[in-house]
Amino acid sequence: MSALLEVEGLQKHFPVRSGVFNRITGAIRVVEGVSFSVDKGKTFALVGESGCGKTTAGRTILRLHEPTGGSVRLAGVDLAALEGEGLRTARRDMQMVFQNPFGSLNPRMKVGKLLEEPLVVHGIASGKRAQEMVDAMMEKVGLAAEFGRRYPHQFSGGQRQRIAIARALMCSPKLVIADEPVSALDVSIQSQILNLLVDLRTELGLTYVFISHDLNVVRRISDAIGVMYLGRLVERAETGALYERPLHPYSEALLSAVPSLEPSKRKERIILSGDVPNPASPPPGCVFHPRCPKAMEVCRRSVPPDKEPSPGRLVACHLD
Amino acid sequence: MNTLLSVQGLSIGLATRGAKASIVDDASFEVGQGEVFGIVGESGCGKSVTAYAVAGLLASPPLSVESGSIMMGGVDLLSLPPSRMRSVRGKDIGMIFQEPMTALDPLYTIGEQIAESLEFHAKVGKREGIERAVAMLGKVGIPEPRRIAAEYPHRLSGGMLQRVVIAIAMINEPRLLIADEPTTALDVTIQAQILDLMNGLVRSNGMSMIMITHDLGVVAETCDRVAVFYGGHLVETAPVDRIFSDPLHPYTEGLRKSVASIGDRDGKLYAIPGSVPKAGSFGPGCRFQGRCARRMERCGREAPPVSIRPDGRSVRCWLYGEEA
Repeated sequence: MSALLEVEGLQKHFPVRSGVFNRITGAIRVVEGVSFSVDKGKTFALVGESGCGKTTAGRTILRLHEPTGGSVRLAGVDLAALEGEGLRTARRDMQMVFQNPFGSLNPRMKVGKLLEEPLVVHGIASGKRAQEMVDAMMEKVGLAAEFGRRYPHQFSGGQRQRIAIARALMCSPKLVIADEPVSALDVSIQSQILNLLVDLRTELGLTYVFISHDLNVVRRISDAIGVMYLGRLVERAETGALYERPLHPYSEALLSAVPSLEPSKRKERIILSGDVPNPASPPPGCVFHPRCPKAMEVCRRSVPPDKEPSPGRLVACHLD
Repeated sequence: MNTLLSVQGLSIGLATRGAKASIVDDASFEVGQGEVFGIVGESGCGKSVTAYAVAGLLASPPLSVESGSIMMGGVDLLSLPPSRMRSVRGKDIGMIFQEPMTALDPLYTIGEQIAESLEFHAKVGKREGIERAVAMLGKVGIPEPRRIAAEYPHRLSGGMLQRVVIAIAMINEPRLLIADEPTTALDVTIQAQILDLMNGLVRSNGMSMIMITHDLGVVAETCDRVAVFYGGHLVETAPVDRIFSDPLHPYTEGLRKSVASIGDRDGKLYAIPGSVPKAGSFGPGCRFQGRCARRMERCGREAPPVSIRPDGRSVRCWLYGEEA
């Protein structure tokens, strides 16, 4: 099986301006050297806490932000080299589902129109043919076709997220980047939407990049996971392997911090002290060292190299 | 265990254009001294308004208590005039809110905001208030408490601000702490810090706490006993281990399964069908019937009564109705 998406050394820096002439005086390294690949039909999750750069990484992959460095290849095509019409066509193949279905749907458009719009924009279909495609997609995501005549506010959060997913799938993309797609939903609705995403992946041969802060959700949907901290990918592993034995101290602490669902097993957790540092002035050496319970002298001085303890696994840490 | 708080038959209504919608219907529960009592449920289930009613913080109008009693230390809090309730709130009952960024006043320093509650209730002077605020900041794990006491809220991170909110809630050593989703707005590693801190403070001071949350993981980590709300009904109360090992109500069971399942062989997760009912728009009969896997004919006609089980647990479901 070949990789559909290959991300290599992706960087996204935002300029810091200051002074009377508003000159660029520095850069916030929001995404700093993120590499991973996703095989067709698989789900890769990017996890991390707020400000770790996971959302920016997702948007930079889609070129909603221009990357500062690195490359992104979708089905072998280098997205960074595309411009104009070529980029527009490529955008058909990659779509995004956003966190907040209350903000991502235009409240003044009926659902039918919302779903039809991508078809018209990309010149895929119009009129009766488009209507048929809209009805078929509504059914696929579990909504009755007559709902197309309603406005987004007439739906519950879970239904709105179904609409957002349907809209993303209208032009038959190969890759879907879902940014916290279930975080705004009630617990009993989250599983419904995750199941829908899994079904659609199988049915339509989709590949997902799933961005989330919720380790319980990620475990249930992804094949492999990348853990981000302050813009860096600190660990990358198959899902089962990561949950069984996290190698990076941050992954270990993150997994340990998730409340367990068994009251009898209130565990001794690793509680990290302090807060996530400001990405505008990251600590020297390993960015995690001020909070790391296993920090050594070398961690303060040098950035840890990416190690490959087993094929496909990556860990950026000085520990052996 | 001695009972600290006893809520009996509490009903809360919402006034909407001439009509009254029921938000919470006939909820009864007790919180023991030194007990951490969880209230769980999804959005619109009535969990927050129930706790706000206990603290006398219902936005009235449009919300109002329709019937019931809230007894604490032999006094019905609902019968107290607002001026008396103000001396209970902040002194006997402390509150911790979900969003620490909005719970604090941006125009006052951290120290002033902690001391304010002390000056009001304990009638201490400003200087002593600030001294005790600094000591309290130390207890909630804030480094350099004296420097932080002089800072304004925007200078602190979310986790640090939540520690400040906890310090304000605890400064008068209340008997009951009400925490409304105290860690929902925080990152998971910060959540672990805050839960650890709250557990430690509550247990070491012998306080009682009502923990309102949608997160069963937080319940499992902190609570002794739990009440599950659905659609304005308290559907089940039980000791925390039984909620997970032996849930009685089909909703509790569904909720537990839908967060705990890691997917079967074809990757399917357990999901409760249907959608969460909107607050105030509940039909006749059991409010969970439309989504329930064990629905019976009777559930559509009559709302089930609360039955008390031999072990003291309560459940509102026709599966157990005849045993009451």
